[in-house]
Amino acid sequence: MTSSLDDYLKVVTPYLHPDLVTPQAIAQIQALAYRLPIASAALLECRLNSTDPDIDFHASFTHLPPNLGDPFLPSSAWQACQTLHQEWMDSTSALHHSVNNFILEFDLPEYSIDASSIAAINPSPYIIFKSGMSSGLQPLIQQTLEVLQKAPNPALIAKIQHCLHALPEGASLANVGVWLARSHQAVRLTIKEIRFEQLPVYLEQIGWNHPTAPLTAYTSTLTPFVDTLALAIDLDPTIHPKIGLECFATKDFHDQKRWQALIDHLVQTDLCTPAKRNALLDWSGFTQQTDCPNLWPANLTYGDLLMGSNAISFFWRRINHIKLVYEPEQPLTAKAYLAFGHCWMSRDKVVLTPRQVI
Amino acid sequence: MSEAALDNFLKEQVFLPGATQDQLKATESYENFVDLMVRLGNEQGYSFTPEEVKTLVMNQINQQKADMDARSQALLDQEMATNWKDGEFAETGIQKLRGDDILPLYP
Repeated sequence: MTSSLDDYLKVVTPYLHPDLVTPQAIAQIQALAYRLPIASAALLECRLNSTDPDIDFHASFTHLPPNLGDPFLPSSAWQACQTLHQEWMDSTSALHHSVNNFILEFDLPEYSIDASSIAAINPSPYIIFKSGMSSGLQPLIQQTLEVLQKAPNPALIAKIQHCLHALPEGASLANVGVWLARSHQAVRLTIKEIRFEQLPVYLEQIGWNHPTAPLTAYTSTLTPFVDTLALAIDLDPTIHPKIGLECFATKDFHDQKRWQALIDHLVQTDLCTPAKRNALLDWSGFTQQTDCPNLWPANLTYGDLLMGSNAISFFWRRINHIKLVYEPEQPLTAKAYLAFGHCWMSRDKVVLTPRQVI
Repeated sequence: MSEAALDNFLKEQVFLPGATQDQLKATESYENFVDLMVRLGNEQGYSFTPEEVKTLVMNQINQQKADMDARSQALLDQEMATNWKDGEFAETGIQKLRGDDILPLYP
């Protein structure tokens, strides 16, 4: 039987607290993941400041099978993803040498989990450039949009160019995508390594004509808790009023205290419920085959055999980032992005600990 | 020498998060797995044969079997020595990772 991303999801599902992801939302994600190939990593996107059970899903790939869209109903979105993927896999293409990951984001239907609604779901793709790619991105972006949007609006291309030229010192483009699954089909740009104090000027320079005072009043309280910041904007070619601030408390996998400090701050400022805070902090960790032998995915068998005592095979779980969503004249909201994936890693990079299982 | 190349390929490419191990995880049969190991190895400058991959897998299976036999015997000996309760045994878990191989998914 062909392996699917659902095989990986089953391993980490026991660590998803129902306060964060309801059983119904898990069932939706499982129905979707069953139709997706295994990914190098995946993200669960959860709302934090309400009991809203709505959840979205991202799957990140370093390669994909040629029949990616087959389990879904044919659509222009799946066709565009397939074409972009083919160009990426062409070892002679500029995309092949510049793009690290191909990510599919899915807006899950709010209530229905029947097979037909999952089969009809469309992806919104985005690509992550290899680190160090700070110049020469414009032709790659244009090539990507020509695949995803067929004939991109010249005004949109010019606006993207303007956004890149106006980048403040130290900031760079992390990823670009198109909301193919949404009616507006806007382009998403994510600007990484931008600083809080650079936001108002940058937003003004790129033509985002909305008041920044309510946003900066809150972000000024965040500075001690955030290590790295990214700005997510949508444009078509006007920049949408709603923007996202992606907050990374730490890059250190094990620095749980940094995440706790940030999330505690969100609770104190009513952006996260206490129940969701506790569920979030319980998420991070590792799972080995001995923890769940009956759930261990079959596709790992041969590699697990081959590694012998030289490597460790495990699933990892971490908080990837917290996103603040700001829309003028609307209350600020927060989302958490829970990441998981499987890894074979050299034994010398893993610190093992004896433990007692009863 | 190609056994050393296989060993180096595993250490330097397969046991690191990334595209090489992702492609291997996507194979659906033992034969496909072995063939892809050889192809990816060759593409990245490591020369070894399918037979060498299969031999290594068999060696690892035999080693694991020997380890399990030894562990079973050790547990039996320990139980006799300490009178352990039913269902109680020691295991090894992951405490932490060295380095930053699993960075945030993005940016």
